[in-house]
Order: sequence, then C-alpha cells, then structure tokens
Amino acid sequence: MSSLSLREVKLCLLGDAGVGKSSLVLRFVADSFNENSESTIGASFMSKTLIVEDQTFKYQIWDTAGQEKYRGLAPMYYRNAAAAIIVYEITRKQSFEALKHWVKELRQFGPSNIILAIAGNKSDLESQRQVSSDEAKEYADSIDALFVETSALTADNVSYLFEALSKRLPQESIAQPKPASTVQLVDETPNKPKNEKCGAC
Amino acid sequence: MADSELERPFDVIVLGTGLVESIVAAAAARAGKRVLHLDPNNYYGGAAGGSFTLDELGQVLTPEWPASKTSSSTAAPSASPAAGSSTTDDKPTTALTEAACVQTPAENADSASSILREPASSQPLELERRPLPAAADRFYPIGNAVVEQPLASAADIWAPLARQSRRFTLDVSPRGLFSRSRIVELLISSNVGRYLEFKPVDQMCFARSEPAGEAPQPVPCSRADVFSSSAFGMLDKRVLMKLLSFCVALGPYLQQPTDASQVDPDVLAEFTRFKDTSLVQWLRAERKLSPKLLYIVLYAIAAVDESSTGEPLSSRAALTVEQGVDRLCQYLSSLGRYSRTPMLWSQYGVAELSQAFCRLCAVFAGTYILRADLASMLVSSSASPSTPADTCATESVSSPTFAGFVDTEGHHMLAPWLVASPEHVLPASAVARDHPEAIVTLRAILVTNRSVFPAVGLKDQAAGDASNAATEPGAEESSADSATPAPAPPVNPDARISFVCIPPDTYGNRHLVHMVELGANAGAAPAGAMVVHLTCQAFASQLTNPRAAFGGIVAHYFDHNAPSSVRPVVLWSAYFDVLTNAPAVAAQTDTPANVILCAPMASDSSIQNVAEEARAIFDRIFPGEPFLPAAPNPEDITWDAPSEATSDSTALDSTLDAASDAAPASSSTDPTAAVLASDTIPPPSVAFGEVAASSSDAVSPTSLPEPN
Repeated sequence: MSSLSLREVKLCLLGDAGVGKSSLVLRFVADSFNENSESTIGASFMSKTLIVEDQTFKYQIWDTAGQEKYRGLAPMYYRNAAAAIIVYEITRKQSFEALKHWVKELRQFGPSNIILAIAGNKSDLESQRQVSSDEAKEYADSIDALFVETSALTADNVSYLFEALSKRLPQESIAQPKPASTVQLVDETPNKPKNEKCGAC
Repeated sequence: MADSELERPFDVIVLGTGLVESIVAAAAARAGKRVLHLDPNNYYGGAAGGSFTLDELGQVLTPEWPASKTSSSTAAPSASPAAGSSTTDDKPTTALTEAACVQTPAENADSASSILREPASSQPLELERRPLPAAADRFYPIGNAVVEQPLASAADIWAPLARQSRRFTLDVSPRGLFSRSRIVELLISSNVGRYLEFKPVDQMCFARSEPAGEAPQPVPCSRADVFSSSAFGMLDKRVLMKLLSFCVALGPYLQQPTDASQVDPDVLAEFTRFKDTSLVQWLRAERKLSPKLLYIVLYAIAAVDESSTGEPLSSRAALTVEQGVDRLCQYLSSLGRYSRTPMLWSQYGVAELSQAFCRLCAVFAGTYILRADLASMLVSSSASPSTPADTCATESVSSPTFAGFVDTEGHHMLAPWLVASPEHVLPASAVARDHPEAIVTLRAILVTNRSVFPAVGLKDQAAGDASNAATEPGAEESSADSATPAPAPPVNPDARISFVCIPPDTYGNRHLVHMVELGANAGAAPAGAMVVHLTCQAFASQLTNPRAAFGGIVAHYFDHNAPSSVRPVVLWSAYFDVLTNAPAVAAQTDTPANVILCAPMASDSSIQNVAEEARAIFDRIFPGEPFLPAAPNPEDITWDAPSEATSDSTALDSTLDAASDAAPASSSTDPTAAVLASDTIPPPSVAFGEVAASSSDAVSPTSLPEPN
C-alpha cells in the first residue's frame, strides 16, 4: 500500500454516560474488553489504522473523557471531526431517547458535513432489550446515519462499524490536509529512535 | 444516578474556566489529584476570556439575569444564612455536621473517615452554609456595553452575514501569544498544544497620523527588514541594531539573573546602572533614538503606553528599563520561531486554550460540570469557638475555611481547596469599579466588509499562500489599489491576520491602542467579513466610554455609510469594557484562607503570565508535585496484547515509549503512575526557527497490538 493513500480521520464519540463508548473504542483499537472504564485515563485520543477497500484509514478517536456527564463537552471536541459515532445501549430506552439531544448538539457545534453513525451497544444483552432494532434503524435513516448494533463485550459488529463508516467518508473531507499555514505547538526535538524499542521487544 | 462521584471528596475544586483556572485544573489532574471543575456558565473561558459566536456575544455583553431572588448583595456570611437557599434542598440551612454530609449520598458506602481530610476530621466539624451571591448580584467583569446594528444602507450586506452567526469567533479579550513565551513553552512541554491550532500573525504594523491617509506601516521583523526599510536613514539603522544587540546580549542574563558570566561587562554595567530608570528617558538620552525610531521601539515593539516625550499619560509608574528590555527581548526571541512575525493567533479564539487544558484535565479523570447551579458555599469555622473576633462588630469569624459547595439539587461537593474566578464568588459590591486604581480594558469589536489594508498586486498574490480557503469577493479592490507599492506580504489582505499598534494621540486616542484585524482565514468571521478588535487600557476613573475612546480611530479607518465607500464599512459594532484589575478584589478579607481567587484576565500582557500564575497556585496547593509534565503522546501509547489482559486493571497498561526505561509499565497497575514516569523526558529544547510540521508519519509497529 502506498503511503499516499493514508487518510487521517478524526472521529468523536457521543452518547450518554455508561453506554459503553470507551469500551467500544477499546475493543476496536486494542481488541480487548475491560470492566474498569477508568482504564482510558491519560489517553487524549486513540489511534488505529484500518484498511478498507485498498484505502488506509488512520483513525484518531476522541472519547469524551467523561465531559459529557455534566454537560461539559467543549466545542473543541467536535472541531474538524470527519465522523461521529453516537452510542446508546439497547437495554436502556433512555439512552436511545438521548440520541436526539446528541444529534442536536452535533448540528449546533459540529462540522456541518460530519458523517454520523449510531451504535446500539450491549447487543449481547438481548434478554434485557428495551429498544428494538427497527425503531433505531428508522431513526438512523431519518437523519441519514449509519446504524449498527454492537457488543464491545463480544466484539460483535465492532470492526464492521468502522469499516462501514470508512466507506461512507467522502473523499474530500478525509483527504483534506490541515491548512498549510497552521502552526502546531508540538515538541519536535526528542525524536526517540524507535528502532531501539523494537530491538528490545 | 452517577452522583456518588460528586459526593466523594475532591482534592481541589476549581470554579470558573478562565485560562489560569483551567491550567491549575489540568495540572492537578495530571498529578493524579481528584479535580472537580465547575463553571456556572454554559461556555468555557469565563465572560472576560470567552470566544463567542455573534449571537452569543450579545448575551454575554448584556446578560439578562433570570429574575431572581434573594437577599442582600453582600457576602455577609451569617447575616442571612437562609437567603441563598432558593434551593430544592430541604435540609436546614444552618450548621451542618460532618455526619450530615456523609449521610446525604444514601447509596455511597465510602468510608466516613475519608469524607473530610482536614486534620480536625476526627471531631465533628461545623459546616456553615454561606449563600453565594445571586447571578444578578455577582461581580461581572464586563460593563458599559453598547451593540450597534448597521445603518440601513449597509443592512443588505449585513443580513446574510448575520445569519452565519456561528462562523464568527469573537473574543472578549483577543490576545496573541508570543512564539517564545512561557505559555507557549507550557503548551509544548505539557503536550496540550497538540489539541490546538495556531496561525502565525501575518503582519505587525504601526499607525502614524502623518502622512494622512497612509496605511499602517510594517514593523521590521528581521535584520533584513531593518536594512531594507526605506523608513530609516543609516544612522537610525545603526542605532537600532546596537539597541537590539544590547537586548540580545542581555537575554540569557534576564532569564537567569544569577549567572552574569556570559554577559558582556559593558552591557551589564549599562543595564545595572539604568535598569530602574524610565525606559523612555533611557532610549532618548542614552541610546539616542531619533523620534521616529523611538516611536517604533516604544509602541510597536515594547507596547509602552506612555508619551514618547516622557510625559506621563496617567499616574501609572513609568515603565523601567528592566521591564522594557524584557519586552524587547521577548519580541526579538519570538521572531522567526514559527513565522517571521513574533506572534501566534489561536485559531477559533483564545478560549480554545482553556478548553485544551480542560480536555487534559478530563482525560486525567477530572470531573466537569458546566452550567453548575451552586446554592451555597460550605464553610467551616473550626477555629477556637470563642475568639475575640466574636465580640467584634464584624460578621467575619476568626478563620473560616472553605469546605465545599452545595448545588441546588442538594449535592455536597467537598474539597480542601477552592480555586475560583472572582466573577463566580464575589458580590458586585466587593469590587470597587470606581476605585482610583481600578484598571479597565476598553474594547470595541467591529465587523466590517473588508480589510483596512490595500490589496497587493494579483501577481504577488498568486505567489502567496495558495491554500487560503477564503476566496473573497475582493477582486475589485485589488484592481483599484494595484498601483500601491505596499511592502506587505503578498496575500489577499482579507486573508491576513494583522496586528496594528496605534500610539497615543495618533487619532485622538489618549492611550496606546492595539488593533487586530482577522478574517475567515483565522476562523473569526464568515467569508466576506472582517473582524476588527480595538483594545486599550485605562484607569476606570478616567475613561469609561469605550465608544468615545476609539471614536477617532474608527472615524479614520472606517465608514458607517455606503458600501461604495473607499474605506471599509462598519456593519456591526460592540463597545464595552472589561474590569482588568481592581485592588479591592485582592483585599477581599472575607475570603477563606484556602480559597484562591484568580486575577481577572483581561489585560493584553497577562496571557504571557498565565503559566506562572497557574504554577504559583498549583505549588501552593500541591507543593513538590510535578507541574504539568508531558502528557503521553497518544501515538506512543502501547496496548498490551489482549491475551495479557487477564486482570481488570491492567487491560490497558499504557506506557510511554520514552518512559519505559525508567519505569517498566508492567510493574504498575495504575495507568496514571506509568504516565507520570514521562517526567524523564528531557525538557524541550527548541531550535531557533523551527516550524513544527504536523506529524503524519505512519504508526510505529510498537504502538499497535499485533493484528489478529
């Protein structure tokens, strides 16, 4: 794969507290599941590369870091996001009702051309289901969003979610480079030779 | 509910999301402390430090407080204990005991012993509820606001722009960052800079009253600029270069005053002799600057708000040589780091900085509540119950201690420290706006239809920055002005970020005025509009009408009438002031000793000092803890293979590549602990002239798990 086809995609996660946003990312990025949601402490976002139809996508996935819990998400969170996944849990009707709020929030603060996906998480808890797939699918269609039911616990549909999302991304919004004149304040100097680390592994 | 999270005591509560407050919150969370960060507003940055859309700004300038309420506008702690309790909490509003606090979260099984960490926690602590001033009675930094809609003749241009309210980013306190300043170093060393995008300021200019009609002139930003400038004669150039060399030679010494060995003894001798004297006098009498040169050095580079003749403009003390040389050094050392000019502009407004530090705090488990609805402050008057203070006529107890807040839903949020913006805790009556030493920042925000700068030739423009997304309908200006030999960078003027310094008495302005002009390129306005910020500082007692203060400048550069005008047309404008420094704020005796009030953050220079202020607060609360060590680069976080993730707590053992030598992550079950080991990263040493490229290198094989 030529490096020319690498595309960086900022994706942000939304949804009520406790629906499993972090678990979903952790399943996608590290293919693991962790009861302890504090595990993401210290990671401002997570990266994962994905190859879909000969195209390499490098996802930069922003989790809410709990800022959604008490209405604390900042406009910066949505800035330049190409895609958003809004998560609810199929076992809690209230988290589904909250989707509308999050869609509204995105329309207000997010980029206008953002690609939306809705993930009904915890599909492994079928016996406790409160939200039917049909109802959710209908809502997703009404706002032109991708819809998938997932389980971060069993990994069901998690990769599929990101693959399907990747296919929806329009060429221009993901290939768009940062404006040339933008300065990023990052420390470039201590470029650790990564080869050493490889040798130690 | 998830509210048990709030009931567990915090290490610090931060109230308000101004920049200093946000840096303190981030540093505390980064150090592993439990942080609760509250803001009664629904936006970040505080009223004086916020960045707003067009619609939001109107509400911020002239807030309509909900018809309240309660009580007196004083903070008298015991005078009206029940006054602030228009709350849903039915508990008695008198003294609470420790036990009462613990009982509130019924399902919270946390040990009672952890609820209060004060030394006195072994015995019940009397907690008194001190009502917070109602919103309408609180100190509000913004005043004297007037918003002016366009005249009928400009309404047609304005209407489509006004509909794009969200495309405006209007800063109440617009501030550029010097490329080499402590705040920039902090953004780099803490890795918070990764969340942000900056634009280099494209041109630094100064205005002159004569020749009339002249566009603002560029300030030389390099040695080549100085020597190629037609504005100076040879003698001026030599005097200027000697002065700049003097500053450069002193630079290391100013950074590290204990080490004078590197400094030329002659330079040091001159500096030592004059450092406490007036900068203006020194430049005139000792350095022999010509009036023209003095003008540029004083105003455009050192931003001195004084008359160039040495007459005081106000009763403020004259800037000393030491202070002035420090400013010159900052300017000089910032040149060429990220661009040819010394300044950076935060894309999407200055409140992005607050948001970025808050993001770091949240990532390190800080809890965020916006629109926090606080009812009262919990104060313990633990000290000796019968002190002589009780017999005094005053209402203050001997040593009240902040213990926490109760919100209108009855949550008790406890912490041994409070760091707060004055606007959220002080009643208006505690801040003396009319104090003779109170300083206000006078402000104007204008939305215009095009830049005050003439366009340069289209030929040059093509060679310029081709990535400027904003394709302005500016072709007609270009043809009209293409004959003007403007020495400005070859870009569409509407796409430039321009800083213009307007010295005192240039256009009837009594004080030094900073003008910042921004367009769509800076994320400040929709295409087809420009935003112009005017800022100056004055004693509140002397100048209170921002509209009058900027009247001459606005009349010089702009029209209010026909769009066919040769000058840009003001479509919309807002005038207001921001209380920047009021002595009474600091002298608030009523504030408990463990409450730290941050200074109001409106002055232009203050952003350069936020890092120090935040650090001082952090060191006071958490002495000896590392202050904002580099956060891990997400790209460097390694994920354990799933097979190793046997125990819950180690499923994600995040470790920095760089830190792994010093602290093997396998020994740690606490991700934060592993992360803290990144202290071992050497401090950033930044080469002159570096321009950080966005890192687009592929993921290193070590940073991702084996693909299955």
